[in-house]
Amino acid sequence: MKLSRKQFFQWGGIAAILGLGGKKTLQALALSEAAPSQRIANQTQVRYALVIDSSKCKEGCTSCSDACHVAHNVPNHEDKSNEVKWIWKEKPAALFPEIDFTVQGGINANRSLPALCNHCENPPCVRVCPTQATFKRREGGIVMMDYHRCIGCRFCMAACPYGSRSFNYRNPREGLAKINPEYPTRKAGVVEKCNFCEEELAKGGQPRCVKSCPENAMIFGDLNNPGSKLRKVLAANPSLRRQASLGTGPSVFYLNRNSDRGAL
Amino acid sequence: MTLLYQWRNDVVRNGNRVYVNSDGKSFEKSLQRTCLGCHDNTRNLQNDTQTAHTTRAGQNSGDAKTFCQNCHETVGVRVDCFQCHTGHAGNADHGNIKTLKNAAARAQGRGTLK
Repeated sequence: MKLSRKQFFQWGGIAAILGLGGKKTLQALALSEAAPSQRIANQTQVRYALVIDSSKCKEGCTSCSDACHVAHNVPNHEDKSNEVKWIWKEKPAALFPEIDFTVQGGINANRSLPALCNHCENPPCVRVCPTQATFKRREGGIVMMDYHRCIGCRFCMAACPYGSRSFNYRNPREGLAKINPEYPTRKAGVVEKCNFCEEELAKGGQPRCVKSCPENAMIFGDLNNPGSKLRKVLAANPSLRRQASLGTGPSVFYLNRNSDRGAL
Repeated sequence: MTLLYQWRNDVVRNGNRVYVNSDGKSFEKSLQRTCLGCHDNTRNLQNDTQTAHTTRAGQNSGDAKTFCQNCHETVGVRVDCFQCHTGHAGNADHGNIKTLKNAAARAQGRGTLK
């Protein structure tokens, strides 16, 4: 039998489709689809989390962001378009766009609350990073960056639904009055973000935002440990997570209550 | 550089911060807090004699002011580490490996966080 060129390609195409449709191939495809999120979810044993007591946080106070930004050499550029931030204050309407606090109660709609990286269980920034500069730590589940690997593509900034990532459009040392020699600065062209004060945790400490809060409005602990203070507070109080419906699994919780209803 | 890359990955990716050498001596894996204490490229030392650093094998590793540059200039590679990293931290806690070891032990066991 002599095949024409056309027939050769027709039979070749059919053979390729049959081959790809095999059970093994389908399984392999299914695995590669499921792998990233499963891999990330299974890595964490201790899972660090933060609870912010919305009723205690004072309007106008910036102790948490001041302490963080000084320690981590986060620059303060005059031009807002070059802004770099690890932790900042935001109105509840911006934090929780699905909820109208003026009608629904709970968090006081007029008072700003701290916003920071949510150290998601299933971080979209990690999934999009083409160089694995952003990754999720196996122990503790902190979403961290290796600035050496960052190529400044800003995919992570587009992927993060919380705006927790900042790009260094300018040399950060231009925006620093004083450099903390204990921590490196970044350079122009890389993205940066909160690291849950990983360097403090390594020494057995707590994140600086938690330590510096004059109202003790933040509680840090292990979300996977049912005996932790954090878990007890979460069990006893209604709380919210930012845009949890997106499936990112944020590790920062906001107690959904007003100061009028009494403290902890 | 191989050592620096190894240490960087250990610290940043795995949170493993203590290096133990063949003599059993411990060091913190940190450029700013450990390496630059002797091999300081960013410090302007007045007296060059105080910069000579002798390795364990008894060889002189050269002028500490130019420790990194010695190799980089030969092979024509620019040192860009110090665009981000500052000089030696010079902290009182520097080299306090006991604290770090305790912290590592605490991090291993669960339920230590309150």
